[in-house]
Amino acid sequence: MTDTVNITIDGRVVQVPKGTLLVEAAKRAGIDIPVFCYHEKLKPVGACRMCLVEIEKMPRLQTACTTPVGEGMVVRTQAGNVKAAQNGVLELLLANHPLDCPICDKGGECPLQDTTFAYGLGESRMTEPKRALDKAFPLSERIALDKERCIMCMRCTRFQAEIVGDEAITVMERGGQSEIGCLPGKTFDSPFSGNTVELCPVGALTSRQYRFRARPWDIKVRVPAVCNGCAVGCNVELHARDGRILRMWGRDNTEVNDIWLCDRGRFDTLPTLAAERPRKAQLRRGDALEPADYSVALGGAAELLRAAGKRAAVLLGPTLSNEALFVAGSALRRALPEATLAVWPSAATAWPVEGSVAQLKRATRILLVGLDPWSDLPVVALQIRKATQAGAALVVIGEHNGLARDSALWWRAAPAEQPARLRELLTALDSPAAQAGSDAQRAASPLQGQGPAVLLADPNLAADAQTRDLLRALATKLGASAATGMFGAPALAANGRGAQDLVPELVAQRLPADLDAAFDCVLCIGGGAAPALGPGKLLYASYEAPGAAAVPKMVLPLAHSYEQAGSFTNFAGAVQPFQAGGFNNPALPADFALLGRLAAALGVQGPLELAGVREALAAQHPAYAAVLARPAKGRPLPLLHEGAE
Amino acid sequence: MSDGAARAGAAVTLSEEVRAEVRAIAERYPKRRTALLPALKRAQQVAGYLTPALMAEVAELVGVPAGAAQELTTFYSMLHTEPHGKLHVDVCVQLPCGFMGGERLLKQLSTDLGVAPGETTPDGLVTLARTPECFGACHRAPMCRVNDTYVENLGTPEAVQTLVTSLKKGELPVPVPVPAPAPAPAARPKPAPGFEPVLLPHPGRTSALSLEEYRSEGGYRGFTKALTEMTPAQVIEEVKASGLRGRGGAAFSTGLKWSFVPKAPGPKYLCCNADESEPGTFKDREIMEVEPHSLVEGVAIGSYAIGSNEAFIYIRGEYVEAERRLLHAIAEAEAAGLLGKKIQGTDFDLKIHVFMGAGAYICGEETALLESLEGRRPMPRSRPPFPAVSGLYDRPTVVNNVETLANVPKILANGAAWYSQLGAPPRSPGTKIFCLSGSVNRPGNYELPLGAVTVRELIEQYGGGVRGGHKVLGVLPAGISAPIIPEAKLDAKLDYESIAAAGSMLGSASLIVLDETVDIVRAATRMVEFFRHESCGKCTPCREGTQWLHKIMTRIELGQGNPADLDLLKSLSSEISGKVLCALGDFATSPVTATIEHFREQYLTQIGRRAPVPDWSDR
Repeated sequence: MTDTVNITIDGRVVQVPKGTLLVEAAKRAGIDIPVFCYHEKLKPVGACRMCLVEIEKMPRLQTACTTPVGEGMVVRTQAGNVKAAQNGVLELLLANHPLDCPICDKGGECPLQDTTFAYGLGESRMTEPKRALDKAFPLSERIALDKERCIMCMRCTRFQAEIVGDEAITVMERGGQSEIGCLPGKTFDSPFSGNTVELCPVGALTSRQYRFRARPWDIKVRVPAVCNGCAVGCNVELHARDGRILRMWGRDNTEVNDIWLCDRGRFDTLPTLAAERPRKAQLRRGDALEPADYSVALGGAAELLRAAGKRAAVLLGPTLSNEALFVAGSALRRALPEATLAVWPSAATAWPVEGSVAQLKRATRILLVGLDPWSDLPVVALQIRKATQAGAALVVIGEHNGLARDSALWWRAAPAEQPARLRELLTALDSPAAQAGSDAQRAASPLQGQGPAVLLADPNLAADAQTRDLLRALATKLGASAATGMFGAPALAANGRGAQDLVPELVAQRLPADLDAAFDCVLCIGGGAAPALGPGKLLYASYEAPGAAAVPKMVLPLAHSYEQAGSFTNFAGAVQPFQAGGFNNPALPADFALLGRLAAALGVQGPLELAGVREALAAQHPAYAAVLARPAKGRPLPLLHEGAE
Repeated sequence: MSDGAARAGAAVTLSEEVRAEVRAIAERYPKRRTALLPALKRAQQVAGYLTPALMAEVAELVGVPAGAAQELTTFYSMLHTEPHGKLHVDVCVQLPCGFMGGERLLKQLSTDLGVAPGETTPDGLVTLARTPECFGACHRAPMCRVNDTYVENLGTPEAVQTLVTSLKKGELPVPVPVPAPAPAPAARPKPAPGFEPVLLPHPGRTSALSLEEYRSEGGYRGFTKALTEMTPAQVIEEVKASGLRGRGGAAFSTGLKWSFVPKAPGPKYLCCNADESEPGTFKDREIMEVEPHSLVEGVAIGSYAIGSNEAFIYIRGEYVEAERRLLHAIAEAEAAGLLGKKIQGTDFDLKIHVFMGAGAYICGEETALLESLEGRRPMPRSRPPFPAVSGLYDRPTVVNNVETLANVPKILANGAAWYSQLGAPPRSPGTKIFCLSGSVNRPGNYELPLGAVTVRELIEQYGGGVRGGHKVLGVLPAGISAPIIPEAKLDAKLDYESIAAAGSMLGSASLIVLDETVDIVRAATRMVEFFRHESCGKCTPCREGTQWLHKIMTRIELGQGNPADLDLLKSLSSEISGKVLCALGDFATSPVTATIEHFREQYLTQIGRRAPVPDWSDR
């Protein structure tokens, strides 16, 4: 028998779980109660007063966002006094709000505009001088603050306090003088600051990257996608205008990132930023790279690779899609039997992660060894915080710890010292009394107890067999299981797990230290810095420019991950497909298409389009089959250009 | 106060000694963050004002992000982020000080020191400030604060000259001695035959009773009885039976409030709200300064009743003298085994913390008080959950006013039946300290049974009548937070029900008397300024509404009003009242709506004059 409650709202009876907030119960009944400060991912505060409703038997109007349902509650959202309250709150909110709509980025997607239109009176009686404050104040390189527009909903400061824990921006002054900001002399340096732009219900916090770039109705294409910045694989939505991706929003997935993104992913991975990105194939003639016909260049590349025989190499980069990796490991492998094919930089993990992020959020004990999620898997750090805020104990063994504030204990140890620490910890967990007063005991103590557990470690550490055994033993000791928690050493490259799953032999492939000495022809494909090679050796296939230091013989531009369809597998093993958004214009080949065409040029014919590649992939990897057959989650989108794969 | 640093504006970091002090403060409390406010105050004491670097340093020592310090520093009036003079002079111009010489004092000081309000003298010695806050010295108006020292009774030129002389030399002034109350308390009319005061048995006394003296009058008998002869549940029943209602203004049954605390094990907290900041209120101050043990004993009994082993007395930051005397009383009690571990051979432990605020009226709101205690920005919380269930550190908590708790020892010692017969049972039993100030000859605290006298009788028989033989314009009965009672209704009895029937609220019983020479428009504007200044800013209607109301009122005061403003003021008031997160917003509308209701003609006259209301600098 579930614990449910029946309430009547505007005459409609609705049954909801006990503890549901009235504002959420109303949603289920299909009734909209306007809000500003309320956000489902943040603790309710009842500050803006927009959601006031009438509840029978209560003398005053109540905020629906802070009131849990009670059995038999009778609620009215359309009563005259509620409407009067809504008019009043809006008139007061707009009293000091500047008439900025024509120049404000938020116009057209602004909750204040929409709510005023729906719930407010058409006029304001405010004729006194409005307060004048900083406009377009640079809080950081990424975020601008318009202090006049701020309606003090405090979603941003609550996000920084509750979710991030760094209180990088806070509320200052008091009363009508209140404003948000940083300590004087400081900037809004938080790795997750971009989320406040999405949270802000007005145009107070805006993205400087996006400033004045588009109106919401100019953004004809909104594509559900997956960030290619790291192995978390945050779910995102890409917004494009006239074929150019202008910004990235978060997309709710409680199994991965909730709605949060890190700034690196949100701002720095967009292809529109890449300066001097090649859009045509290029061949080196003398000192310069000259444009060439793509097919001709491709044919030339195939020839160079074949001719180099054993001294040919193909380096597969961190952002290659699963589909591309599969083609590399099948058709291309067959096409270049003597060449060295390897994932580079190394994505090796000898201990792939098992368990899920959803379980991580519910863990009671978390141990991190040599791993600093705050830097390497940023949004996972937020998910870990969710657990620690609910009471979980976090113990960190390592050199760097962005979650120091949230750690029950931080046992500092350089990589060389970490295996020894693991041994000591294991002993301390086994026999607490024996190690009383030691560092190991202080580390072990918070990890004792019941409940789901998590152990995540640095893949370099787990590369050594003995250390890996220690880690496994620790995981077992803590009770970290795939069914209830999470354990493993995550490959940190964006699609490192995909490589591990699909082409483990290419992940395991060792490369000589001196690439230049070992190879005459190297195809470097799929993002990342070009290796240091002598002139005439490098064939560079990417969505980025090769960089000033590299001297490629040939450049074969690719579609960016965000411009093609494909899939990534995140560090926890979740396979996440993404669609083409139709902003690949003029069309550049998808990574798997280029590799397929290369193999074909070398005499091995395989599928070249998405459906065919996925069919072949699914046949060999049943675990991927089900996911790849489903469409990507997210809003349905109008495609500007059909079939741009 | 640091010498030189404030003036020089030098970049100061904390010495090792002070760093160690801050670390020690951070160890004192159940959660480290609680130490943030006292740590910032200590750093300010040493450095003169708080720079961003200092804020960050303190935050790091306490173990919180730097932003946390920023939130507090810019919120509290007593924390400064800019350098200022060696002597910081705050002159109160709120009601009643404003029309009882406060504005005159400000003008005089400005002239004599050669500095405008808000500025610092060129030699860096004195910063003069006008404050719309109230310091709880209304009965000794006009007054000012010089750093932490209260300088009161500055109504004579001689007193002002003495002050100016000290200030010019850069020396902390000596407080003006409090004149003996005239007539002596014994000569005052007895409100009822055989009446004995409960809370202030030594009216007129200004020195604190020692533990010995307090005990010789029966002190701590109530606590001993509770501790050794009664269960906590029985103590709660006794207090319930007495009919004691909260004396902070809400008048909720104290025993009932205590009974809401769940019995489940785990820490529970009793917090005493000594944040007395309502203009016209100075009763808790007198209790703490003269009868500190009555509060300590009340806290002890209350803690025992609800199962709390750690209590906090939250005092407004300006009441430095009260802090000193309470700390002394607590030390005496600890030395005598009345506090500490296993008190009087029982299993009951109790530690009492004295925690000082830093200048924010909103901390008198119980959940804002708890936020302040937790080291957070003191903005009220939404309820549910209520503090009894989830309060300080999310634990069951009871917050009681000073006067409420000070009643408890005698209730336990003499019995509920005794207390419940006093005053105006069954709804308003007991005595009440009435703070009388404003245009009366004898302002001060008057403890009387509830319902014993009318407002008029209090003014005439106890307050010596209206100054200058004037007539009463109106009386604000609950500081500035309740509707003004016009002269015609002054025959209402002083108890909760009668004042409510007269269209107002008794609240904390802080009666400010306005005589007919006080301009009501200016008075109302001054009151609205208070609420605008003290609004925490969390909820829309109060944050925006108090600002807007004040802008309109100021415009009318300046002679730029029009008749339509009155309807607008009323309409805005209805957009605020009943829609806000806490009572401050509701109270902020009373000065506007009540004065328009009762004194509409005066408003229209001022609007018609097209000239500013004369200031009060000659009063």
